[in-house]
This record gives sequence, C-alpha cells and structure tokens, in this order.
Amino acid sequence: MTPRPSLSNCWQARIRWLVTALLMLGHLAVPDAARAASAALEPFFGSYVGSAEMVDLTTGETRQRDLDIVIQPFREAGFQVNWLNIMLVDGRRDVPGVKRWLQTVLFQPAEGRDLYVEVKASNPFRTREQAKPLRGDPIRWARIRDGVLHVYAFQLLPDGNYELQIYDRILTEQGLDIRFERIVDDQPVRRLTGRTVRAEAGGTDD
Amino acid sequence: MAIANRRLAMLVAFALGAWPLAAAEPELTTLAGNWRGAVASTAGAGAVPDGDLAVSLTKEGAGFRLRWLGRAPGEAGDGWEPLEAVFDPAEQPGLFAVRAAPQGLLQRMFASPETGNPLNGETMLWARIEATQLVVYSLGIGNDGGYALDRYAWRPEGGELLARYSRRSDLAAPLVLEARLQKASGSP
Repeated sequence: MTPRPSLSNCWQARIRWLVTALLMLGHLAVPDAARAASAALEPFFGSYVGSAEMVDLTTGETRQRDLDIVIQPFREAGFQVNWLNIMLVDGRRDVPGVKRWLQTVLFQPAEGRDLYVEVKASNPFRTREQAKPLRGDPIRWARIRDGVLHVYAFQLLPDGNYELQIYDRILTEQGLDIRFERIVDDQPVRRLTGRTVRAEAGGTDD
Repeated sequence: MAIANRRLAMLVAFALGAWPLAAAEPELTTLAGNWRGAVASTAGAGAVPDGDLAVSLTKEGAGFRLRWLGRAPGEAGDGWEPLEAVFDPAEQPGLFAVRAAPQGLLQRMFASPETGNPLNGETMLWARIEATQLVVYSLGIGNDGGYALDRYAWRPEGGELLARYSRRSDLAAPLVLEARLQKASGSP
C-alpha cells in the first residue's frame, strides 16, 4: 500500500514550488538594460587604497589625503560606494589635527534610463527620484562612460546658489584614478586628483 | 494679552512674507523692460547665437515674467531658442521659483517647483536676486546621465545690462558668453 502523502508534505511541496516560481519570476523581472548596466559596473567592483591632493581653489592651499574606497554590488543591478578619507597634516596621519570621515552611497538603475539614482539606506525602495530639489533636497546620480564611473551630487542652497560635486573614478591597470571637483555657483572651489591601487584581501596579522 | 501676541505674530508674519518682494522690488524695477545687444566675448566650447541676445522682464504679481534667448533646456539641447517663464517669490528671501501652473507651451518646458526633479527627466528652473544682479538657472539631466547646467546673469551698469551666460556640462569646457544689452522698444 502506497503511503498517502501527509498534509505537511503536501504543503512543503507547494511552498517549494512557490519559492522556485518566485525566484524564476525575480530573474525574469530584471530587464536586459539592468543586466547590461550590471555588466558595465563589474570592472569597478573591488577595494582600492591610495592618496590624493586636494586644492582649495579659493585660497590655493593644498592638503594630502589618504583614500580607501570600496565599490560593491547592491541588490540586483545597483552598486554601493564606501569611501574613507583621511586628511593628513603635513603629510602625516599620526599627529593631532588629522581628520577622518566615512561616506556611503547606494545607487540603483533608473527605470528606462541609462543612469543610476541614489537610494536611501534606510529605505532602499524610495529613490531620490522622489526628492524635491527645488526645496533643497540634495540629489545624486551616476553614470558609466568609457571606463569612468561619474557620480554627481547637486543641491540648491538656501540663498539660491547651487553646489555641484563631481566624482570621477577612472579605471586603470592598477586600480582607479580619482578626480573630484566642487563647484559653487559656477565657480570651482575645490579640486582633488588622486591615484589608487586595487587592494588584495588581507588574512590574519602577519 | 493674547490678542496683542496674535497681532504681533501677524505683523511678524506679514513682514516676513513681504520681505522677499520688498528686497527684490528695486532690482526688478531696474531690470524691467526689453533689452538687446550683441555678444561681446565667448570662451569655451558650444554653439553661439547668430543674432543679438534679447531679454524682457515684466513684473507680474509678486514676481516677474521673463522672456529671453537662451540655451535649449536640457542636456540634449545645444542651440539657442526663445524661452519664457514666470517666477514667484519662494520662501527664502531673494529666491524665486518658476510658477507651477502652466502658462503656455514654453512654460511647460520647466518642472513644477513642488514636484519637479531633473532625475525624472524634467528641467529644473529657478532664479535669485543677489545685490543688483538677477540670476536664472536651469538644470537638466539626460537619459544617459549627462547634465546641462545653465546660468544666466544680468546686472545693470551705467544704463546698460551686463549679461553673462554659461553652460556647464561634462562634455566640454564650460561655454561662457558675455554681452552688453541696451534698452530696446517693442518685444524681444
């Protein structure tokens, strides 16, 4: 006598079928454009360390920075950039006055367009497309062209001026070259140029 | 006491509400009218208008209507064309937002200040008055993520208007164009 399938076995089979169907649907739901965008991103994924020189174009002052950048996939076809800046004092990072800051930004492909828009970490389903830049909300977007990952940040300031920041991360044989410019009301006020190399994952100490 | 406080609050609210217009009034009066003149100097790369630059400003309500020869809005546009928009004072002093209600075909080129966002393919337009200078900006982001950020500035000097236009994009060095505009009769 063939044993009758138990009720729980029956439900397990149905759940397995449902999960498989959802996974297949999820794969189909990723449009070709998103897959292409993801392919364009892949060469940038990795960890990079290097250094840069920041010039304050209003004063002529220059400062050295250490850079630590991680670019990694985010959800299906987006990406995440984490970058750690260390502003050195007279080229040193072991003296008082050194500044350190870490930033993270998440991007997802914009629907029907060949660009990426920022999403908030607190709610990755709400994109910056819903921001109100004329009310002062900052907007960020990114695009990839000819081996360069361009990231733009725009904000309308309270007095009606604007601030535009442009980060270019350029693929090289060793890693990424970095260019950054900060523009306020059409005037470049800061410029950074730097070089990084791909960092290999370290093991335990020694 | 409560009434006195309410009156005081109303006076403060009135003063705050009227301030942007009061501050902008002399500049708008000086700038009002039709102006035109030839391009005097250019730098950078990009199309230059064939004829004169023309701009017309008329006061409208608490704001102003502006007609000018400008760069085609958005990242894809490179040519010059007549543009028109109505600006109303925004909450911040000296800042003007483009009027949300469509006033005509040209006005519809620009995004609503409430919902407009260049990340949705709309062109963002705003204006500000700083000292004696009127500055109008537009930002458009193309489908490929390229951008065009235009800045138009007009400053009265010795009975003329000094005009300085620039377009910033990541395709080329910024185009900067300067002109001296004279008061003209008729429409631009």
